[in-house]
Amino acid sequence: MSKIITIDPVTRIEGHSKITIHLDEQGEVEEALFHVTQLRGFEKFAEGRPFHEMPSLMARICGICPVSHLVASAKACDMLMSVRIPPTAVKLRRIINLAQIAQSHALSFFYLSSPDLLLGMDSDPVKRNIVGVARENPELARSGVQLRALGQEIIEILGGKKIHPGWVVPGGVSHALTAENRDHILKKLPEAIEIAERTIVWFSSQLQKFTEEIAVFANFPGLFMSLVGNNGELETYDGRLRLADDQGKVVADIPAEEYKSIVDEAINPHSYLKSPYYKPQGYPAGLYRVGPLARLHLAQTCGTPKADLAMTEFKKLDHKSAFHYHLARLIEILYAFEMIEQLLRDSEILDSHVRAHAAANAHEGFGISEAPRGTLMHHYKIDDNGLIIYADLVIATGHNSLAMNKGITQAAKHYIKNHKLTEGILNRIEAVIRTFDPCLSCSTHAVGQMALDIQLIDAGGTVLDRVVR
Amino acid sequence: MHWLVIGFGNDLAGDDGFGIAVAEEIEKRLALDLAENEITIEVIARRILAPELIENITTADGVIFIDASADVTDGKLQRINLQQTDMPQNSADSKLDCGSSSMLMSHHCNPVTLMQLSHTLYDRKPPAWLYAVGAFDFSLSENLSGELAALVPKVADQIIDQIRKHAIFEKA
Repeated sequence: MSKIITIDPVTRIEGHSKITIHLDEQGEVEEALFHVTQLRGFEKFAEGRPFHEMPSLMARICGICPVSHLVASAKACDMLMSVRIPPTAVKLRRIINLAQIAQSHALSFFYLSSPDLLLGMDSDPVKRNIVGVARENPELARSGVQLRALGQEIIEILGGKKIHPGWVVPGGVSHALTAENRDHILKKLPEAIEIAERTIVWFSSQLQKFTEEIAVFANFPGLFMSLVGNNGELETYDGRLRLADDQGKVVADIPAEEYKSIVDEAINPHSYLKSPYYKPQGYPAGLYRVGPLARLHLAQTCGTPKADLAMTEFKKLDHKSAFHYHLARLIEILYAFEMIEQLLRDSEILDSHVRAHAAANAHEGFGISEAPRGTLMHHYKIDDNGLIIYADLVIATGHNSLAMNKGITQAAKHYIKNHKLTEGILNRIEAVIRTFDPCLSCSTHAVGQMALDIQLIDAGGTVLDRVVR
Repeated sequence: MHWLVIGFGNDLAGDDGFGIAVAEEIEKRLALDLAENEITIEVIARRILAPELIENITTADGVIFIDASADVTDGKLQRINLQQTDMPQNSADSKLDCGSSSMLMSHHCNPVTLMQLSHTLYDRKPPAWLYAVGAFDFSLSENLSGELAALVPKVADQIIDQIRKHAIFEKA
C-alpha cells in the first residue's frame, strides 16, 4: 500500500507550509512535495492603484524583507518614469538593500538554523532553539543578536523605521543621509565585520561534522541564477542576469529586464508557490537555484577584501549542496557590512540631490534586484493615467521551488528506511528547506504561523498516523 | 530609573493591535511629569518580538510588555510577573511557552524568552511584567473592538502608575 507522510507545517521558516512524503507500494520514498498553503495575492489588488504607490504597497508583502520589495518596486517605477536616478540615490539604495540582506541572513543563520548546526539535528526539539543556542554557546547567540540589530538599525536610520520604511521612492530616495548618521553607522561597522569573520571561521570548522548532510541536502547538478556585476563581481542591486550550471558553464547572460525571455512559471496543484524554470530546458528540467549560494557560485569576486578571502575557501566547496547556503549567507553578511562601509566613505554619499522627479513616461517597467533569498523581479504595466493594469512578481523563494522539492525528495529517500520515522529524520527533511531560507510571506505574499504536524496517509487519502508538536 | 515599555501585536488584525495602541497612548503621555522621580520611559511598538530587543532590555531597570491574548478571558486584563516565570517548557499558556517549537520556530519569540535570553547572554534580568488582555476579535481590521478600545487609556494609566510606584519604592 502506498502511503503519504506529511510534515505540516514546517517549522523555523517564514510562512506557512507543509511537506508530504509519498511512499510507493514497497514503502520506499517515491517523492516529497513542499506545499505552500497560503495565498494573499498582491498582484491582483495592486491593479487600479497609481504606480507611485507601488513601493510602499509592495513593501507590505513581508515584514522580514520589505526593503527588498521596496527596492525592486522603486526600480520598476524608475523605468515607468524613464528617469536615471541621481548617483547618490543609487548608493543609498544599495546600502539599505545590503543592510536588509545582512539582517535577514543573520536571522536565518543564527536564529533559525544555528540550533540544528550547534546542537545537532537529533537533539531534543524542546531545546533545539535560540534559547538552547544561548545556553550552549552564548557568544554565537550574542553574535546573531548584534548582527541582526545592526542591519535593522541601518534600515531604521536610513528609512526612518525598521519595518516597512518608505524612504525608497520612485526616482530615488526621499531624503539625503546626514553626516551624523553616516558617522554613527561607520562607528559600528568594524565590530560587525569582526563578528562575521569570526563566525565564518567557526562555522567552516564545523563543516566536517555534516558530511552526510552535505551529501544529501539538495545535492544535485543544476543551474544557478543571480545578478552579476559588469566585471563578474557580486551584485545585489543592478547588473546582468546570469545562469550557469554547477560547473560554471554560462547558459544565459542577459539584461535583467529581459528575464521573461528565459524564465517561465509553472503552476502546481499542490502549492500556491509558483515554480519558475529556465525556458530552454523546459519544465521541470529547467530547475535552477537562486540566493546566496547561487550569487557566490556565479560571482568571480565579492569586491571587498575580507569577503573575498572567505570566498576563496568557499569556491573550493561543492556548490551543488544546498547545505552550503549557510556559509554563503555568512560570507554575504561580511560582504554587506564591508560594502556598506565602502559606500559610506564615498565622497558623494552626503549629496543632497537624491531624487529625480517625473510623471509616467512609459507603460511598462521592470525592477530586478537581489533580495536576501535570491533574485526578485517586479514587472508592472500602467494605463495612460498611471494606474496599474498588470503586476507580476517573481520572488526568490519561488525560483527555488523546484530545487526545494527535489531536495526534500533526495533527503527523504536517503533517511527514511523501512517505514521508520524519527524526530531527527523529520528535522533533517525540514532542515533541507531551511537551507533555502524560504520566505513564504513573500512568495505567496502571505503570512502565517507554524507548528509541526506529521501525517501518514495511504494511497486512498486516509490518514494512518499523525504526530503534532 | 529607565523603564522599557514594549507593546506588540498586529495592528491590522483587530484586537491584536491592543499592545501597540497602549504603547502609543503611553508615548503620548510621556510629556507627563515623571521627572520628579527621575524616571525615563522608552516606548517600543512592534508587530512581533524579536531577539534584537534584548539590547534594549539589558539597559532597562524594568520592562513591561503589553499584548492581546487568546488565552485570557475576553476583555479581562491579566498582569503576569515574568520574574516568577522560569522558562516553562510546556506551559498551557502559549504566551509563556518557550520550549515549544511553535514559539521559537521563526523570527519571533515571546516575553519570557526575551527575558531569559537577556539573562543568559548578558546576565541582565530586570523586573518584568506582561499585561495581557483577552481579545474579542483577531479578524482583519485596523480598529480595536469597542471594549478593548475603552481599555487602552485605563491600561496606560495603570502601567504609568506601576512604574511610578516602583520607582518611588526603589528610591526609598
